[in-house]
Amino acid sequence: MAQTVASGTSSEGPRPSYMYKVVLLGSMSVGKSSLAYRYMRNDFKDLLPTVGCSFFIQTLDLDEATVKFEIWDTAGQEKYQSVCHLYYRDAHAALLVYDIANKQTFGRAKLWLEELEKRFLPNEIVIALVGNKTDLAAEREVTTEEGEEFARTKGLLFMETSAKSNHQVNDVFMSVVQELLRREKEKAPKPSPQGRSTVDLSASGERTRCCRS
Amino acid sequence: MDRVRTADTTSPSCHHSGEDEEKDVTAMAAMTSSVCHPAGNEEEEDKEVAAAVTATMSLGCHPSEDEEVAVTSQAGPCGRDEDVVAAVTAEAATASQGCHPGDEEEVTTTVTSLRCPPLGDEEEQVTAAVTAAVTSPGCQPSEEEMTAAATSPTHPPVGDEEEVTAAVTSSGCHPREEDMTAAVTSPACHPEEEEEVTAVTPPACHHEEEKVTAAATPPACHPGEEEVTAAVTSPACHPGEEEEEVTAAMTAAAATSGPGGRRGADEDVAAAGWRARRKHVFVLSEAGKPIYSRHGNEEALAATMGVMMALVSFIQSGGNAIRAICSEDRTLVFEQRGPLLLVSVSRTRQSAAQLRRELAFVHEQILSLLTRGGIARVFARRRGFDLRRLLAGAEAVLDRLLCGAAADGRLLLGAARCLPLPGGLRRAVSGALRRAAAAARPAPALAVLAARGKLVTAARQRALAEGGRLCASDLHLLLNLLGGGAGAGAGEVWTPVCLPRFNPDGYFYAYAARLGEEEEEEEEQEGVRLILLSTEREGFYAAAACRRQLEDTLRAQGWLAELAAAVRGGAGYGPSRPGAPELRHFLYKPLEGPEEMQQLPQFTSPELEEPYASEEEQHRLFDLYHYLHSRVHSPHRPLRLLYHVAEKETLLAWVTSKFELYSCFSPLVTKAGAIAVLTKLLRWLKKEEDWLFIRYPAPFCAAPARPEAPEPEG
Repeated sequence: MAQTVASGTSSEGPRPSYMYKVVLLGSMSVGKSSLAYRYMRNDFKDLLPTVGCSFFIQTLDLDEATVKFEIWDTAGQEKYQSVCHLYYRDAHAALLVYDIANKQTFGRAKLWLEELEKRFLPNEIVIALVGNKTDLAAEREVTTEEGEEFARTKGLLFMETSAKSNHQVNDVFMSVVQELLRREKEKAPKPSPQGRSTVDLSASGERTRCCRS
Repeated sequence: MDRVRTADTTSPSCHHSGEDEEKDVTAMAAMTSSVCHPAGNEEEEDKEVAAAVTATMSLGCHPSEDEEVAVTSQAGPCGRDEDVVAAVTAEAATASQGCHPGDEEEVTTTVTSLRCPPLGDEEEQVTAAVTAAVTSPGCQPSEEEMTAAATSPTHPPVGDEEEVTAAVTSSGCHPREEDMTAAVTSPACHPEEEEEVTAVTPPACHHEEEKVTAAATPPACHPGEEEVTAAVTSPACHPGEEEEEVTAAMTAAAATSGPGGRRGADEDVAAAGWRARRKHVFVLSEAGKPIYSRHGNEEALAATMGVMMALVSFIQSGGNAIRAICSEDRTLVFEQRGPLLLVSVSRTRQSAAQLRRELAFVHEQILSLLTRGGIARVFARRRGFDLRRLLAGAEAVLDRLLCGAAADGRLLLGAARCLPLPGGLRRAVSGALRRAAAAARPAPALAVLAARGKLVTAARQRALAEGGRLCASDLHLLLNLLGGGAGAGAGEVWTPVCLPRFNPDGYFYAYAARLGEEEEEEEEQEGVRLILLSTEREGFYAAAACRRQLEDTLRAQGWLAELAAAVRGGAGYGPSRPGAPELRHFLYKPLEGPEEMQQLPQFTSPELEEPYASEEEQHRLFDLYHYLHSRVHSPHRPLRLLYHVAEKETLLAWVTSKFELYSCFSPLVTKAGAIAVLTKLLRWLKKEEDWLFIRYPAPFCAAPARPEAPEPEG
């Protein structure tokens, strides 16, 4: 289960390359698979409930690095939760997805966060809170401010998306990549946990701005 | 002499006093004993039910002729405030005396009395259900199967009818094995006007049993054989209006509850369309909580399911088990499996046994997701647990299973459907699969290639292959879960899955991915899927590596493209392919072949073409196949050859030790003509064996797994 960063040492080479494992977590039918499908294929369709876990690989050629994304799209159903830790173990980033038109799923996302906090050290993992289905704004139950506020207090990235109307889906993944790369850079010069925790908070502020754009 | 097994009544909310019904029961009991009495003649009347039954049984004097006895049951006198209509059709088929004493003896009689609406409003609109199950011991020490039904809906029905259902079971008093099937018939409905000829050929069959032939062959006289058909009709029944069946109470109860807001909520469970569905399948928990409904929202059906559970537990309280209720046009089958109750309400021509097998499949599919132990645990913790929480999202899987079963031979024949593929290509792909699987660390227990739900090839680890421990049904469930449906864009799937026949309590970990996904990304069509079963929960990367290796091999040899082309190019064949224009469709399952093939039961059938292009016609055809199958595999009178002239087609079923074949012809074919076509077909099948079937799915030996297994899970 070699999930550690692969060959990220060549800082003086042309471009370092990294491998990151990203998990999508959240209640069922909040649109995790649709987000993954939109991101991978830039398309939207009615998908059947995910069985267990779906796995995708996406390679990004960025200016500063080549990033290989391993996306683990987990099933939201309760029956798979006993095996879910298999999927998010060694993850570098997690997207906590909820449905803005369903308050319950927001609560569930918070529970997922608690679960992750139990399993990971504070700065071991980049967590993004994603409010999906902005196309259903008319039926909105979770306001943008609510999500934003929660993300800020917990130091998460935050963004609202719509896999259906292709709203900010790419941006979510990109901001996660940026954050991962930023931490990567930081890690190299000074591995001070204190410095990073402050950075993390400021990072979340940055993201909320991005959402308003 | 009559041993009364069950004579129970329930009326939780029914205002009728118990005594009245007790009388009914007595009446029914008496009636039944009269029926099963040889050449008995009896009349019984009661305040509640007035039924006169005359049943004559021919004691084996004219076995070649069916005896039809029509019995009329008089409704209560006009002055009564209730009319009772009883329609009873009892058909008794008897196998010959040659049967072993241990053979099953099954007698089922169902009597339904429909009470017509009372004149005034003085009667409470109560649906009362009375059940009496009476068993009189047979003279032979034999197994008895009982069907007993009791209905006691807690809700007043929507209609005005009061319904009395009684199921009476009795085993024969004759020293011969006897089989009675009784169905409730309303005069409005005639079964159908099919001419039916049963032909019997006992080639290589040295059974002492003789098969009864209706019209074709008049067998010699067997003292024990008899066929009795008794019909009881009442003039008080209004054909058009009183179309209430046993299910009516259940459906009516459902109508009272409001619709929920989930999958299938669009279907109004109170609507006539819902009730008219061909088949309903319900799954509920022991506490009566709805878990799954094939049509409509299970939430809205909570009351109905409550009734079902009440029914089952009521019979259970009498130390018995309800198995089936047969009404004129519907069969209700109850199957209790652990803490789950599965119910099928079918208008198809599937026999109760076939429906039961289908329910078993549904149950096993649920197990494949949750395992038996998993289900037992949650219910042990809380009896009222809502299993839908765990099964959420699985409705699609169950729908797919049942939908696929409607017009496919998979469940009927208990075999996998194969993708026709040039023999050479199949061998090459099989070899590559086997090598890739054997090389993987840890090696998968099973590797399957499938396209569109059809099997391309399979490779098993020797440990799994030995003793045929891998069941066709497990494979079917696995394919149903992961083979198709999951659809494009699902990426690589990794999920725990249980093979219930192999081990109902343990999880395998399944890997599923499309082969050559990279090349044909744009193609929406389902390609070839690889499924690997691993015992390692951390085995995902090993499985993914195995897939890449297989892909590389197949690509290097150009087989991947060939395979994709074969799948794209229809991947099937038309019924005209064997070169017999009279042949419309067939199902063929070879029963012999290399030993390896027998471990992987397979069947082949052409694509459904005109006139079976519409779903409706396909259902009709498979109804006929089911009927043929149930006749051929009847435990009492197994047949070798059955020639069946139906309304719009002629069918022929043929079972030998070498194969099982169901074929459908144009209606004008003659029997000799059909046989000639089949001879031709069999020759064709033999010739195309390699193209049609996986002939040598040899198991592979996994190199002993290194103890370098991943670190134990924390």
